[in-house]
Amino acid sequence: MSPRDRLAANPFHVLELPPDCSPHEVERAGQKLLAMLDVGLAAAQVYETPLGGRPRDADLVRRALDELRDPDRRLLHEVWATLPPTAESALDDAEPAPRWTHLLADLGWMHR
Amino acid sequence: MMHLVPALVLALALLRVLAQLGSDLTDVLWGLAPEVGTPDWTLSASVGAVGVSSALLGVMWAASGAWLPAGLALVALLFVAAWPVVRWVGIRTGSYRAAYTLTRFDPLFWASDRVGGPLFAAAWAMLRGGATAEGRAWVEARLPTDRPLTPASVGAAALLALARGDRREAEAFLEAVDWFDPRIQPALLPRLCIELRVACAAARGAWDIAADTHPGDHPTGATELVQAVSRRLLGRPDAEDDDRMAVLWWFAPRLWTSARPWLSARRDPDPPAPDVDALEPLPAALALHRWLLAHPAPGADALDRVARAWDDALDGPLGAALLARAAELGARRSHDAPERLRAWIQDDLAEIARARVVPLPALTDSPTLGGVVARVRDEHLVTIELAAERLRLRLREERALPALDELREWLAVRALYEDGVRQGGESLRRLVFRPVYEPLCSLSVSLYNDRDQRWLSNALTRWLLAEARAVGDAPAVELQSRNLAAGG
Repeated sequence: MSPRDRLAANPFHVLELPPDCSPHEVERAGQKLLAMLDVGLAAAQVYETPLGGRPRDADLVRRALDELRDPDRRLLHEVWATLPPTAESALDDAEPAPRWTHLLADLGWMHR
Repeated sequence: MMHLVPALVLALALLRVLAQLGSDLTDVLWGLAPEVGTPDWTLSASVGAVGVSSALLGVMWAASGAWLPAGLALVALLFVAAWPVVRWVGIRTGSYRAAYTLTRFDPLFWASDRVGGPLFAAAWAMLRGGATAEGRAWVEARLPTDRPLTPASVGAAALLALARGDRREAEAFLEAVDWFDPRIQPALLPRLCIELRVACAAARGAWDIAADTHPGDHPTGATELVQAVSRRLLGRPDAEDDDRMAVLWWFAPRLWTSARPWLSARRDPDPPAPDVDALEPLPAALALHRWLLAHPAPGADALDRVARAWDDALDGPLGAALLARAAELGARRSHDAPERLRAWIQDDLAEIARARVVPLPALTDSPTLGGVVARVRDEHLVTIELAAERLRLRLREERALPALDELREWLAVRALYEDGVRQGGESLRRLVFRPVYEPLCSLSVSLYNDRDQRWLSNALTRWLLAEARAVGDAPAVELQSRNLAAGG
């Protein structure tokens, strides 16, 4: 998983919970989201992360629940979850490098 | 009388050129392998003499209205102009068979590699004609399998890789051409290969490779222009200004139309770092970490800044807070929570350093960055040593590969080695030279002694010698110098 994906997949963001929530709140939020995804509610299919909106599915929710059930792993996720989520993508500037796509044809090396 | 001297020169020179053409024709008819090596000076001189005297006589006879002799002088000129005909007619029309056959009779441009030159021309024509499956198979069937690989045949293999859509292999083969003995390098080949290499890199957006490719002694106008565009896109300090770009554009007529939008292209400004002065250490480190992940091209400075922020946070109240919170949550591994968080941060920074090929010597020594440097460096070491060991085992088991695959293996090991050196610097070069040197030296010797691949062995020896000199390994320098002298 890339660093960006790791930050975006923070279980607290996936479950839309604050880092100091109780285990009971974790279970309740997870089951609620799974039910919403099961009936295909649009509101459940996207969530906000510190790097902008991301798609959410049942697998991601189940993995988030597993992560937060383990106190050792939850501890580290709590640190990252203090970064506030945002709907606006922070990656607009990170477009891939431009390519001179037809350069080989322009130079007469290839068929256009 | 005025015509007598040039006519005599033409006649004598033409005899020498015709003798060569006769020999080439015999080779073609009897299916013999053409020669490789620096052409006889009498042939080069005769080709020049035919060109100059026939052009001169043609003009003089045409001026005096003697059209028949003028026409004959023009025919004589065609004997030395096989390559221009191939270049401007055969390749443009995609006639790979004609390009191959005509280039075999070229006495000038491809004279030092008469095996590879025709293949290169055919592969170029095949590519230009749309790289049909039939064309690819035709050219591929003519690549040397039981004869020594030559620089232009490696260039042809690069064009075949391009025809398959494998630009990375094409770039690797084109780079390998540089290492072949200059005495058998056709004059045109390095210039063409460098242009193609730079173009391949720019076409896939690898602007750093396009900018850093050595342009050689006589780069084409297009090479210079594309490299200048690359430097501007990368924001390099030596990037050309607008006036210089306009001059370079004039000297690249093939790109007059398509280069226009690229002339003004510049690197986007880096996203500004968040102002974290007023923040506590943890929010400051998190804000900077988020900025780093969103950064399109983070360098050593950005990594340094983020790592320092995390060092401040972990050495401050965050470490104690983590231990207290771990106890509260009932974590089993509460004692090493700060170190596990640091390892997470190091994973992120190492991945960014690896992806952006951030030079490790440019990173300052700190608790967080020290781990990043060690991790990236170890990965390079392990990868290079594994590749070298695999090659060593294959050579010990005497499992030989076709010559082109032996070249591929050398290039694969070399690519890992050079990636490591590019990122790890001179200290990593010194560490990995010997593990790579031993098996590659054995490969070079085996290619020369057992496989009759003298030119490929020579290229590999040249590379080993250059690296031995770079690390100051005197025994290796001595041995490779001796091998080069013996093989030359």
